[in-house]
Amino acid sequence: MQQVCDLFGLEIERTQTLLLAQLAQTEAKSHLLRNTLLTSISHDYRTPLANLMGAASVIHDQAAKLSTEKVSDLAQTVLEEAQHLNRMTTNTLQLARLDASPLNVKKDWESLQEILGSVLSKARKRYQTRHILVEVPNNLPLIRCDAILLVQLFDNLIENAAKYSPEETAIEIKAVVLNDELVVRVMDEGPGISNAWKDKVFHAFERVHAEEAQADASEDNQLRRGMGVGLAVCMAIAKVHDAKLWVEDRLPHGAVMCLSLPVGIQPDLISES
Amino acid sequence: MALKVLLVEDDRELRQTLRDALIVEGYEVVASGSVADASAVLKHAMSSENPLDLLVLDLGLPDGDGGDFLRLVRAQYALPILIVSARHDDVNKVNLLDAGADDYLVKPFSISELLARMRVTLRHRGTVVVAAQTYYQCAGLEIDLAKHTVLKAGQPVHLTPTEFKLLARLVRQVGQVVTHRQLLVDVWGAENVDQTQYLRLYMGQLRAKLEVNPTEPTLLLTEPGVGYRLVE
Repeated sequence: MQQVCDLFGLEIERTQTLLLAQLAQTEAKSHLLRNTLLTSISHDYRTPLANLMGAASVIHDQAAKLSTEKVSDLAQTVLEEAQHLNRMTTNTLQLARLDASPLNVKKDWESLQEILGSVLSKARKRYQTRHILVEVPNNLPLIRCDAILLVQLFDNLIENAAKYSPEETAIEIKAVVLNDELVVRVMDEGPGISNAWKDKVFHAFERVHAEEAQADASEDNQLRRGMGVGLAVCMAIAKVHDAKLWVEDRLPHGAVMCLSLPVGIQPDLISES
Repeated sequence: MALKVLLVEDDRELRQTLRDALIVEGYEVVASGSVADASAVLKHAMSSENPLDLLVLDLGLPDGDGGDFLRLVRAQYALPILIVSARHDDVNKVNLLDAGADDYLVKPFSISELLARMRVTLRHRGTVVVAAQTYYQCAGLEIDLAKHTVLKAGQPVHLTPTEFKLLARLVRQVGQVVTHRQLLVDVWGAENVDQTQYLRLYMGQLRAKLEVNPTEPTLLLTEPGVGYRLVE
């Protein structure tokens, strides 16, 4: 009897310790997330907000003294900055959501060709002057995924490629089936990512050119701001799909973002003759 | 006479901005910020000589579920309804499309997006009572549902019975999003409502036959997580 009680007591103690450890871990994680979000606000939101406020206040205070074209230009700035903030907010919230409840993802049978098609129609409108080359075969296997999350992932990879490569160079997107994996590559002809940064780019608020960008507020660097959470969200989205996401070098120069999605057993399909 | 729109949006600033913008475009606008007020306005307007032509409904209202209001409207009137949702992954939005909303828009949106969506929704005014569209022509593609013919650049295209049924369902609601659920129920039957894979397969086949580039379709568009839309 005594032994049973002892064992029982030990078991309770063990469970309690485990629970406490879990609690501490959850708390540490939520603390980290809170810090990440705060950094996001101070780091990445202030610039677009300042631009937006600047342009809007000029329109508001000085409209009478400005030409119609000038007002139109300023309104364009307001729109662009608002769109930029919208994308960042979507990414930041998604990161928080995936961090808090990674299992709460609604997966369905999806066609990667369709997902990429929807991403590309937006990308072509957004980067009208960029050359975007696409190679996606018909009849790819279906994958179990959350289409909205994958759209967000590819949006971010293309945005990243567009930001970190010269305007006149092409962005290439290729999808292939390799064994039981579906691999999508987003390639640019930018400076590429050094080995020291290949893992770090997927962590929130690490930026390849962060130090240079701070020292140099040139227009080129201005264009590159705000990828603080973009690739981190991509990684979080890849994880909830048991997919792998990594970066490779492109020769002679450039970065290749690779996403490898597992292809499971295909669903039953009725065929028609 | 100007088309009359009931705009239900709880944010005062946005309501005012949209109201002004719609008036500039020539619409007559009645604006409301709550379910209670909107219900009263609706009842009054629909029994007047100049009833409403369109309802633009934001989902996040302070005093009730936009969904309940939508069902109430749908049960009584064939009024076109455009849903405004705050999030892309809003499940509620899809449920409301299934419950009879005509189309949706995700916040934040530009005024031109709102106007474009309103025009399409208005064109389908009374789809419940008036016969749906049976003829479609766009970018070299010609579909005649009555004659059961599909021509691409003047040449007949052979479609399987299921491909034709799926295409026909989209033609009847051209320009508007048709949800996965609506397509599965109407083409494959209610018992197949969860078989999304059928949709993926047959949309792929349709695009291979009808689109110039199936990866980047210009006619049969995907609305991720929601459904499909045939371009008008």
